[in-house]
Amino acid sequence: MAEQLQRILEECEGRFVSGQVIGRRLGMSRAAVWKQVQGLRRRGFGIEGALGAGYRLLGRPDAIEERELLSLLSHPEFWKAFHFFSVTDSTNSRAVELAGKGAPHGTVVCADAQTAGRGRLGRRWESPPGTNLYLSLLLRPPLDPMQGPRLTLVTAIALAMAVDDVTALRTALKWPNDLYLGGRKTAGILAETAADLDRLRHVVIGIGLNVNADPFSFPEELRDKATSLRFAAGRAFPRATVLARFLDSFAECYSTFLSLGFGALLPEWNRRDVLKGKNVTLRLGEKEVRGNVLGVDESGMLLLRREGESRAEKVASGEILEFER
Amino acid sequence: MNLKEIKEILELLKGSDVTELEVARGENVLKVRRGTPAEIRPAAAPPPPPPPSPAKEAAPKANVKEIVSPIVGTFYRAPAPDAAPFVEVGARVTKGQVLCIVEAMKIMNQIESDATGTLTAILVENAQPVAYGQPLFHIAVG
Repeated sequence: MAEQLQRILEECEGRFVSGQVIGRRLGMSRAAVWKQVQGLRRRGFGIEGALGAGYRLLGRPDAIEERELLSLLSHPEFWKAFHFFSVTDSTNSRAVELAGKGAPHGTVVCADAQTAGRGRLGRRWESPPGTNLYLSLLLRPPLDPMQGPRLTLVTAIALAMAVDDVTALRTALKWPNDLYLGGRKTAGILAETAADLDRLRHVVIGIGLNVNADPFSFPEELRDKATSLRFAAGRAFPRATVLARFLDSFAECYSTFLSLGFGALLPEWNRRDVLKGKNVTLRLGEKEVRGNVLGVDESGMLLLRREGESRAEKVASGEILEFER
Repeated sequence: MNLKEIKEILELLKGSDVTELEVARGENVLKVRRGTPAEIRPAAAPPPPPPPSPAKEAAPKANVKEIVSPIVGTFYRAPAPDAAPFVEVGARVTKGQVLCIVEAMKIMNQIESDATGTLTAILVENAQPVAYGQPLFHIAVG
C-alpha cells in the first residue's frame, strides 16, 4: 500500500494530488490515506499536506530499496538474494548465519545501521544510520583456500573502481584492504571464511564505505584519518547508486579473477597503490619490521624488501603501521 | 615456493596414501608422484603391494589427528585480542568446532577441527606466522 502511494506521489512529480484521488486509486478512505502518508513520513519522505490541495512529494529519504537497486544494476543475474536490515549488529554476522543455513552464492546483506560493526580482530567500525553503506557479500567460490585471500584485494579493486566512477575522484589503495581519498581512509574490508584443507566452503566479505557521513560526526580519534565520499567530493551521493555501481563492479572483477586470475586485475591495483616504492613499518605477527615496498604480486602478496636485505620477500599477512605519505 | 615449503609438503605426504599431487603457487608448480605409473592399474588387476612405510619420526601417533594450516598467514588463538581462546590443551573438541583463525590479507580463515577427541597440543604461539601445511594442533581421536 505504502509503495503504491509512493508511486502515485512520484508520478505527480511534486505537484499536489488530492487525498480523494489517491483514495479512489487505492480503494481506501481519505483517513486511511492520511495514515499511509504518516507512515511514509516516518520513513523519511518529505510530504507536504495542504487543505484543499492534497499531498505532494518534496523529498525522498536516502533509502536503499530492493526494487530501485535492481533497476540500477547492469548485472542483476549475479546476485541471487538481498537481505536488508534497518539495523543489525553486524552484516558479517548475519551473512555467516545465512551461510550456515545454506544461503546461495551471490547473497547480499545490507544494513542501514550497525550496532556492532566490526573491523579487524574485534575493532569497531563506526556505523551510524542513513548515511553510509554497510554490507556483506556471501560467496561460494570454486577456489582452494590459498586463493581465498586474494578476494580481499579483488573487492578493494571493485570498490575503488566503483567509487572513482561515481565520484570522478581518484581513490588510492593500501594493501591489502583499505581505500583512501585525499590521504584519509574511506572504506574498509573484512572477510571471514570457513575452509577445509582443500576447498573454501564460503567466504563472507564485509564492506564499510563512508558515503555521506560528515567527518565532524566521527569520533575524535578518527577525525583527521577518515573521510567520506561526500566530504572528499563536496556533494552527496544516493547510496543506492553507489551500491549498485559497486555490485556491478564486483560482479565484473570477480568474473575476471575467476577466469583470468588476479594478475588480470593487477594493473587496476598498481595504478592506485599508495605503498609502491614507499618505506613502511609493518607488523608481522608480534614483530615490527621496516622495509621498502616493491608492490603487490600476482598472488596478491605484498613484496617487501626489508632494511639491509637485497632480496624481496612475499608477505601474506601483516599490518602496515606507518608509511611515507 | 621455497625449499622449506617443498620439504613441508613432502612431509605432509608421508603416511598419506596420496600417490600424485600438484601444487601451484603463482607461476611455481610442484608435481610429486610416488611409485611408478604401472602401479595405477585397471580395477581388475591385483592390488599393488602397499608402499614401504615412510620414516615416522615427525608424524603423530596413529590415533592422533594433526590439524594443519590450509594457507600461509598469521595464527590467532582467539577471535579478538581481549577474547578467550577458542580452545585450550586438554579440551574436548568436536568435528566442525572452530579451533583458531589464520589471517591472510585480512581474510579471517576459521580453521575447524575435522576430528572429535581431546586437544593434546597447540603447536604454534598466538600471532605467529604459519606456513601452508604447517601443523597447528594435535587431537587424540575418540
